[in-house]
Amino acid sequence: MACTSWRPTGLTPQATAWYFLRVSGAALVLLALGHLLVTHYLAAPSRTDSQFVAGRWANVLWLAFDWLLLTLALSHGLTGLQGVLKDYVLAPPARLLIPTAAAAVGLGFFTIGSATLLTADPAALRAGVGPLSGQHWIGELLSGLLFLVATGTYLGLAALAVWAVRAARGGRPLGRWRFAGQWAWALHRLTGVGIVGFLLVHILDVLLLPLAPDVYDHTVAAYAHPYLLPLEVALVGAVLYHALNGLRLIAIDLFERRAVADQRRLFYAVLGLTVALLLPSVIVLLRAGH
Amino acid sequence: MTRAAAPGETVELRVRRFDPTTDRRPYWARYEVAVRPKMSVLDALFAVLEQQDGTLGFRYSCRAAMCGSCAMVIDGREALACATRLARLGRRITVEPLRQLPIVKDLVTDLEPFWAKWAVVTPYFVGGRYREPAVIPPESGRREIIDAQLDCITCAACYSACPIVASNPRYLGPAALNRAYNLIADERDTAAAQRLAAVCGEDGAFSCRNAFNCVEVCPQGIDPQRSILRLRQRALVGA
Repeated sequence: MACTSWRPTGLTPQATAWYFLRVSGAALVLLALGHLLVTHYLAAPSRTDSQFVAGRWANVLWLAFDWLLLTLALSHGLTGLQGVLKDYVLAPPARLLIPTAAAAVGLGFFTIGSATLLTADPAALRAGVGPLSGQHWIGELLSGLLFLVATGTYLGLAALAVWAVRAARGGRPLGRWRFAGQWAWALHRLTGVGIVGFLLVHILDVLLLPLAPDVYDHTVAAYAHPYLLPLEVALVGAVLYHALNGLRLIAIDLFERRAVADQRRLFYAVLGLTVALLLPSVIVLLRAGH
Repeated sequence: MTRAAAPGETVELRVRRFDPTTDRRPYWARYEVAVRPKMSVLDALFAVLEQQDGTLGFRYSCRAAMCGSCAMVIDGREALACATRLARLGRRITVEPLRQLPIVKDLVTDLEPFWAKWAVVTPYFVGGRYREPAVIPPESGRREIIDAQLDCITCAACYSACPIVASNPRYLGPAALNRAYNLIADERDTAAAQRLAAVCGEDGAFSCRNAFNCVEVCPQGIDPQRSILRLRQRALVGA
């Protein structure tokens, strides 16, 4: 008896998005963690000023690395964000607009990021001058936004903690939150959305490098403020968790026979590795005077 | 969790009640129930119904964990009331209706959305290729891929526990996708191509995010997650 009635559906839009997330995600584990190594482990973020970037961008291989990271991170992030939005935005007109909006945002930020990288002039960066030099209000604005984001994040985390304590004291059952897979899913989603938000802001702040290196330096120096330390730690933790849990998801897809048996253990391993890899970054941040 | 109540002692049953015809919002009702040996949550609900409050609504049928009618959320986790013994729970037990489904009354939910998804996957065998009866011998290795997943009792526990169904009511959900995979993997079936196309589009197998809640709560020990993983493989490469 031969099995002939089914055929692969091939790359439907949903299958393409799913497949692309896996392939780009695997590549991003190397690229994003490599970027993190340079900017959060070998150096503190507050030291990655225009001189630091000029040194890197003098090497065409670093330029290619950053461009590849920009391309894959943006496309992976916006593809993932589309999936997230489609889980919540159900009304037909808005839902149908999601891919178009994602493509427009992606194209816009890809153009900005690519222009920044392709027109990079290390000599001009070293000289510290650009067409918008001296416009420190831009730096103040960006720093203010960063403080606002930090405050929002801290308030959100505090609200979450209050909710958890009230739920526990009220004897309310944990429900789905008793399952490791639920946490793995929620954290992957939360960190993914957070990283996409940061990525878009990051592409804009890097645009300051050719336009006003002195303003960029002023903004980067603001990262050293102690109030922003938890936000920096959260960002590194988010990238580490998202990358490691992404590998867990790929492993689940590849080894589905063992998926159920191992997914919980893999999640705990992801959490442990995230914390272990986060610690050296915290030490680097603290040593840099954060 | 506190120590389970022994026979002769009492438990506090906190039931989430709601009658859409009279109540503005759901509320918690508390009942003290005397524990009997081997008492199940369904037995406790009957004790409330018969001795304390004849208006309490809940659904049941076989009382032997075979029909799936009494699926509800017990202490925050989807389970069959008839198969959940009080001895496994604490002294304060919460009972709620299944999530993601409209409430008919108290613990009785309207399964219509669940069945609507079920219908999308053409949930019945479509034969015609082989002279009946077309048999895959039980000892054949070709049965292994579907045998473990066949025992779904359509209780909707997985549907209730799924975080994607919770946010996206269009998502087909674990039970329907598991059913689709069983039929697609059955080499005698002739409707697999259109079934695969139906479940691999928008809000189908590729919308699952691998939370594994469906596996955690299935009272039959089925692994719908694995069926979904295999559906994706089939859709992409026909593995």
